[in-house]
Amino acid sequence: MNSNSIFRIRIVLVFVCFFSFIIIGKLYFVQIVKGNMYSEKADKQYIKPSTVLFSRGSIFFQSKDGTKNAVATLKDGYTLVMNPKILKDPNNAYQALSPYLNLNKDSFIEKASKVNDQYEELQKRLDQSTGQSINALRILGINAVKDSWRIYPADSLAAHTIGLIGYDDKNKIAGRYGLERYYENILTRQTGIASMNFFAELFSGIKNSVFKNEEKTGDIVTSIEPTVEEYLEKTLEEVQDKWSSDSIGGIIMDPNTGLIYAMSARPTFNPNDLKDIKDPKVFSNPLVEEAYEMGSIIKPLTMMVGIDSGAIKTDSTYIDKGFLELNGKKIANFDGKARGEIPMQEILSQSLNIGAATIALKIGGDTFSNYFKKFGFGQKTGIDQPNEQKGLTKNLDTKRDIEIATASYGQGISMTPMQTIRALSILANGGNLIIPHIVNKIEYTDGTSQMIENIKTPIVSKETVDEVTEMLIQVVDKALKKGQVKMENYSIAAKTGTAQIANPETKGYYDDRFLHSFFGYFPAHNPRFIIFLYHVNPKNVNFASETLTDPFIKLTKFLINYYEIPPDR
Amino acid sequence: MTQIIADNINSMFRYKEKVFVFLVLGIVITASVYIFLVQKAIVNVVEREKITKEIRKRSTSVSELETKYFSIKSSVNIELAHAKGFKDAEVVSYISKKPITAFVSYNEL
Repeated sequence: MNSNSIFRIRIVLVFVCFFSFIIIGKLYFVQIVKGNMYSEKADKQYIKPSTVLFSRGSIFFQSKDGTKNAVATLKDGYTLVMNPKILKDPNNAYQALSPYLNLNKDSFIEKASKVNDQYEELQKRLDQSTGQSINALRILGINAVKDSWRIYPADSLAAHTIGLIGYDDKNKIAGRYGLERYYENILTRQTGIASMNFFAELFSGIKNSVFKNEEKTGDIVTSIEPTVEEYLEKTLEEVQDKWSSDSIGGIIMDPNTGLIYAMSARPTFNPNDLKDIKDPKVFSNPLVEEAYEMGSIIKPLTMMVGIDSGAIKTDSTYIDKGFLELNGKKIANFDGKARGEIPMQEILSQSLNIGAATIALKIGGDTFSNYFKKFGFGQKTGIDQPNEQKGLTKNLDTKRDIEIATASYGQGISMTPMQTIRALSILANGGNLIIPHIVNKIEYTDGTSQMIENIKTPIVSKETVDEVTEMLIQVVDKALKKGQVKMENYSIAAKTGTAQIANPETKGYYDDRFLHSFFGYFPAHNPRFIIFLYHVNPKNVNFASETLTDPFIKLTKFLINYYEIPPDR
Repeated sequence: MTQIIADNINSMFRYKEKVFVFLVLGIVITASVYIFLVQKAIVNVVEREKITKEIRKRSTSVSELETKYFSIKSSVNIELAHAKGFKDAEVVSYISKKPITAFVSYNEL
């Protein structure tokens, strides 16, 4: 190769380097210096505004036969809009539209009079046929544009659990309550390819296949059984109507897996019709967001701790004087009466506060507190609901006898209904702490699916819970309504609770307001279901056994029939 | 560096006809594959848009049916059953399940 060729190659190399520098410089200018501006410009070209429809994943209930029912889904239709600038004759337009409109003439004319305006919304959520009929009228300045919105086909059924969507802090539609909020990242469809323009979409597939998108979206399938949910809600409504309770709630759960079949609270709302809602607090789910002192349904847990720690045995006895004085304060049985020397069974059968306190004091404050913390009190359960509360369990840390004694029968510490049923499930599932959950499967848009894992942590021995279960069966068979609700062929373990309600003004308790609670599981030797019910401030009645026994037995019989549960005795 | 490039160009000149044919063939094949893939992608995008519209249409229809289903379902209750002549069983009898151990041999043969 001669020197001339080498010279030419050098020239070419110089040009290549020069153009490389220019390109790198331009790249720096485009990407770094004016990156944001070009990014915005690209986004504007990328989206087809006229065809962007709201999209979101669905939420399903699942019947016992596996059938899925959509309880939060989408509906397509039309929104009626007006362009006052080009609308010629508002009176005639109103005349033509009046069969389809829920708008009075004055409002229509008022909107039409904004002649400098180009967009006025007349009516949302028109169905397909109405929208098409309006467009067929061909009124200049009136147009029905395609729209899509969230609907909840089951109306108020499990409204707190499902939740609802709304505008968030960034003025974007997102889940605000319930599952809609908790699973926002699964249900959202903000990057839906339906909104891209044709050419952008053409090449987006390459990006998606090369750079896998980590955040998968999809639909969620819950374990809520619609028939059971409906039955629970109807039962709660009847109880609230009968006793004029301020609020009421209930949960039906599989104690072995933590799967929830039904959960409901009242007052409730219809997510399809929110116009009459005055207080947004009604949207919060009290089953996970409100903490209460639960009262005597905590006594079986105290009994369990007593047996498991070796402090007592089921055949132990104690002397019940009817009251105890601890740290200068006096606590007493519900009736203030002494029982003398009596067996442990009577603590649960007669719901004796002094008995529970005696066990707790024998266990010792540290051990008692440690067990109660292991039961999940003072911690979130991990249920798939937003804004879950931990409850108030400071009294478990004071180490004073009075606080330990009152905690042993469910006063002085507060817990959410979900924490309560979770802790009580330990009795029903052989001594394990489970994580309650509502969603049992996520079906992703890419065709894959994920089952939600059931997690169990052993807490106490099976022998201990079996012994407490036997005691609770005795409560139903002999003590509850004097044995009238005993079921010959089914063993049922249950306990009532009547708790005083704290008065935030006096920092004491109301004399005339109580919280009634009830829990039970069956068939007691191999439980399929655990039920927890509570209501706040029922009127003209004293004890939970009077208000919640029959609803519990009604629910139990329903579940036995519906799930065809064989007898266990 | 310059000498290495020069040597490479010299060696290329020795096979220039083959290199030319190879490059032309490469361009033709690449262009054909590109056209084929783009055409496939266009068909797929159009088809997907059609399917998306169909899904939305059916989804709306399903949501309307779900609403009707829940409305009808809530009206079917025990009161309706009683009104239609349903009577609760007064005496419930259960069959006994024979223990499985009765059929199991404990003797290893």
